Amino acid sequence: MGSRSRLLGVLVPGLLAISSIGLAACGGSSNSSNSAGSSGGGSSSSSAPSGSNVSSELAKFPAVVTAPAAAKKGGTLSVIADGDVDYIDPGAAYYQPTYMIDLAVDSPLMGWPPNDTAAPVPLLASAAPTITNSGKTITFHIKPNVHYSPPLGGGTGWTKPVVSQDVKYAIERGLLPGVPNGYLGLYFADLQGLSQAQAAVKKDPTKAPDISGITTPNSSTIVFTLTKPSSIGVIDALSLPLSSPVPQAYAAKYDSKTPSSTYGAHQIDVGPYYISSYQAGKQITLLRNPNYTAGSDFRPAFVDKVAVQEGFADTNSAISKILTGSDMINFDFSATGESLKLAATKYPKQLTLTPAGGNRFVALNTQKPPFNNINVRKAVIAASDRDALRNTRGGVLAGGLATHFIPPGIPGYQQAGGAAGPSGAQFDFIQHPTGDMALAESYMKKAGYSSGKCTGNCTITMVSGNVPPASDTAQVVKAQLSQLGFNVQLHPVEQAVMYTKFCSVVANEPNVCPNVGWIKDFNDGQAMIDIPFNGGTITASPTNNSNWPQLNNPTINAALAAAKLIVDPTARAAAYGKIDDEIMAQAPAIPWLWDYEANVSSSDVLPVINEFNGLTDLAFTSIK
Amino acid sequence: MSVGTPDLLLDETEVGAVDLVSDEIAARSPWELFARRFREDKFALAGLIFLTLLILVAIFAPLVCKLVGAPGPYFADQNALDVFGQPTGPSSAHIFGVDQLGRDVFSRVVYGARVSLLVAFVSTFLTTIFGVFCGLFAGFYRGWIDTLISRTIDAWLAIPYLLLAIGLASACSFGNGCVGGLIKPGVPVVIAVVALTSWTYPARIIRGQVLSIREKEFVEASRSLGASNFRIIVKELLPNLTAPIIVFASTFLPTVILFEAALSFLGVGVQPPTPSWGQMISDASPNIATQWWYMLFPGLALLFTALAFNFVGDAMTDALNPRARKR
Repeated sequence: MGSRSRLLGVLVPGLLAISSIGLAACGGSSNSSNSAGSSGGGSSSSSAPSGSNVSSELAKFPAVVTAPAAAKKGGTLSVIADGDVDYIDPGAAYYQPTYMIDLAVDSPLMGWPPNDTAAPVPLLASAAPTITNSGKTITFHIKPNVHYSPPLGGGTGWTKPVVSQDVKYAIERGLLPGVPNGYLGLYFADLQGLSQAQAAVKKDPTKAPDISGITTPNSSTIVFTLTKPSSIGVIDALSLPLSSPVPQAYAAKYDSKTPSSTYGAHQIDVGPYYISSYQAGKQITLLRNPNYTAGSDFRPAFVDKVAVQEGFADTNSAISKILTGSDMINFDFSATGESLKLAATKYPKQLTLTPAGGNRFVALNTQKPPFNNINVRKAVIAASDRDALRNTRGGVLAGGLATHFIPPGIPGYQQAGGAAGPSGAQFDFIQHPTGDMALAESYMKKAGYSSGKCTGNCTITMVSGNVPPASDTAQVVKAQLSQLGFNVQLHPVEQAVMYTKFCSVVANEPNVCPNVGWIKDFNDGQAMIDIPFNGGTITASPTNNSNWPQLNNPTINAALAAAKLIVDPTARAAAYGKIDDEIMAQAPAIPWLWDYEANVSSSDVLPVINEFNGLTDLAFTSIK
Repeated sequence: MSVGTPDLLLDETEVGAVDLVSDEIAARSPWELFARRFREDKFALAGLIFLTLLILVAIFAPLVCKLVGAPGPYFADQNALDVFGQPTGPSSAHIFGVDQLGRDVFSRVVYGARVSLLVAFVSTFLTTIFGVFCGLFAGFYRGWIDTLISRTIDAWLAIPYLLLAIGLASACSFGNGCVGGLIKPGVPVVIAVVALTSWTYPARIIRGQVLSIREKEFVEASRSLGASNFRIIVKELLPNLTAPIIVFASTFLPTVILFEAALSFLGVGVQPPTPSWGQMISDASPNIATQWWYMLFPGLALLFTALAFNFVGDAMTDALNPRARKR
């Protein structure tokens, strides 16, 4: 939220990791009472997650999550951006602001209406999928007569209607090295024939390989066959842009290009809008898709044109420009710090807060001394002033104080202890939001430091971002660690370098990474804690590791493997909540924030926030 | 053997500097003349007083903070931040307000003086020593030594020094520093960067001076009496280089202070949380419109310090080179 861009997928391909940046994801709770009726039925505001310690702040700046009754058609919406999308190609997109575009121009099999936080609903699919074979077979039927838009960059495009084979190809092309999809191997790992397809594409990187687990019995049916009953995660993942259709006969020539597919620059879309013009780093223009049938899905598409203007590096000025201007909303930055204060105090009706569905934590490297000692880790957490850490990102409006890792709105949050966090004496180290030095010193003594503070070789390394608020957070962490006697060598570097050279490289990881966090890909506990705390992540990707604490606990690993196969939502939430507590018991990190997404708009804009990614939904937003 | 610095000799306008006591004519020493001339410059005196106070404040920073009732420069007072986590302005608890982490700006300005002065004096010392050494050898020995040193200086001057400084500072600010750990991250990096990028200036000045002085009669006389090169350099040349060295150092000090501030402003100088004026100004710049105190006080400290050094430096230049003053 504080820094300038959200380079999630760019920095850590394969993951939606939080960079310095803002979280941008759906919030709300699966059991929260969103009064969202059908669009057009009057506006409704998102309600704070039940049991959250943050509801009062959210209530002050509620987000509208359905199309207001007063919404009108027409006009141009200006979207003010700092940076660019990560990939214009929907097959590679893995960045929440990019999803803002994709939600308006693409139609994956499943989708997320703005007020939906429980489970995705059919979008390109004509109905909810049929799950058979004990959760190992998923069958979708797609809507008839869905047509492609004119192509980006001109040309004849593709006049045939969407068929199921287009969806199969869209997913298969995600294996191409020229379409660097970040989550296919993650959420579709149990797809039958995936490993063979991955091997095939290594032999011929210019041709999308066949995945035998995806079949199309006819042009309107697509079947996914899994090796394990992990259908919940697969269906959730089919709400991501990868499953938006791409006709092989049209795209193959672009996909055969190396090192990168050029399909993105020639893409054809099926949503209510299409990308009519794109200049990397400068602008993106969306126009109405002339081949889209109004009412064919839940997107009303009010404005005629969306103009994304990039290059607003001074986000404080950009926020001010939006608040005082007309027809504008924010893109890849949120109001934070001073600009958040400005918006909250002078333009409160133009500010919305939405739970971002992510967390921020200070990762303690559990594989290196001194943090390979659990009591030292508990001491550090006990000493931490999480309120001070939150102040570095904007105080109470930045988000709720985290007490564990699954954030509000994600199944498992309540089961893990809700806002209060896990209870019991074994969790005393996380129960003091402003820190408890006496408790911290008692843990240090248990760790063998008789004075309650580190003595002897107490030099530890910490690599942080080098611009506020990340650098501010790092300074606060350093001060807190110093209280326990640690001599912290703080090395501020660019946020990207922090990940790619240090925190995500197992061999180079410092003792402390203070600026990391995780945002869900979709509303499920698996998407929240399976990657950052699964020991398998470390060995699977030693140079792009997102298990920053390098926690490798066999019990937790086994529990994660079992939980993703649970189909019953209640049992699944309970399982992930329990795992979250087990992770917290290992004290691998200091969880300190469950972010809010702070969006702003001009006074003449009726913004609708999509709780899936916490950002403005372009297909629902209108001009007064 | 030395006959003194020519510039420190009386000039014809300073007859009054000669006192007639009884039958004796007592000439003032060059340093007395220097002090007399220096005292004529009121701005320089004010600057000197300011710098003296600044040095005392820097040395006794903990005591100064205690007297004012300010917490230490690293203490983050969360209660001094508003509900948005933003710093609050001057108050009875924090007379200069607090920064973005709730740290007392007064304390950080006071402790920042330590950094600025430390960098300024040590860098200037190293720069001057190395520059004088190179200039002396180049000017005295001439020949291939002069060619080697002079061409090195030319090549060095062709390098954009700010970019070089940023590169060096970035490279040495990580891990154990660079040059096998000789240059440690933090203040040592800044000092090394300043010295490495600035030694050419005194080297050129000194070389020119040496080329002139080495031809003077007293040097010839010394050589004819069998003095070694080392003795000539140490006993004849160096004393006669005092004035240009002092002039260079005095005018270089404010440059270093500003250079350190610039590096810190760019994020490659003194690393946080060590207080530095340049870094404070950098941190404050995004919110200058609403958090004026955060930039104002370190900015004023930087301004007045540089100004004071400039006044003093100019006055020293004038006092040591009265002919130049008259022009």
